[in-house]
Amino acid sequence: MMPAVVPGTVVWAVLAGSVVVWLAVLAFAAGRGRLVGPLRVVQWFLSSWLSRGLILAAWGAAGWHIFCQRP
Amino acid sequence: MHRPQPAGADPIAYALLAALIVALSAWQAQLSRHSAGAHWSVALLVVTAFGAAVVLGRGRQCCSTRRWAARSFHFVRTWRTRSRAAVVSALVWAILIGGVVAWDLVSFVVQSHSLPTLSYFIGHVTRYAVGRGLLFAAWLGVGTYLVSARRTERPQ
Repeated sequence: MMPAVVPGTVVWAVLAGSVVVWLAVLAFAAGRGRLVGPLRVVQWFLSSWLSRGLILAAWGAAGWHIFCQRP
Repeated sequence: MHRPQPAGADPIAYALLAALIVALSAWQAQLSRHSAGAHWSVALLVVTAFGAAVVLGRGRQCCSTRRWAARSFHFVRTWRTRSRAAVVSALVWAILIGGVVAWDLVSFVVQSHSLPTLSYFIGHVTRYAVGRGLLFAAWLGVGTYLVSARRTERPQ
């Protein structure tokens, strides 16, 4: 069943479209420009104990919410 | 500047880890969100991930929190001297990540049918066993990366 189109769904679609466009730009510019890709963003988060701990906490909370609370 | 070097890769360890992820995901796919098995396994995996991060990262975290914060702050302060590509990238990533987090928080706080949260859409996938199993495997894969990536070879 497809989710109903409500105002919130439109915002999510815009955000998802923006992510897709940005990833396409990164793929197109790979090897030519110096744009920062998703791997470098994640690696920046993993550079210190604090940021690694925070992103791991977010990962754990997301897992609990998705697999133990959501249908 | 000291750059982090990738830790030595053991193919057998990776194969065992991949087999464990597949087995756990296949088992998790059969569980419901209300089951004790789902609750215990997710909680145990989160605790294990934090434990493994501490054990693997002891002396191998590539920079201290203070240095990381100082470098990040320095980047923001000196953005005019940075390349246009670096500034545009940082700006776009900040807007996208901030936008997703902020909109999800707004939708969660408002609790309205017209503002669904991100997990509402994910719920359309996890209600099916295949979707739940695949998403669980992806979640475990991401967790494994977050625990083990960006480590130095030598203790600093």
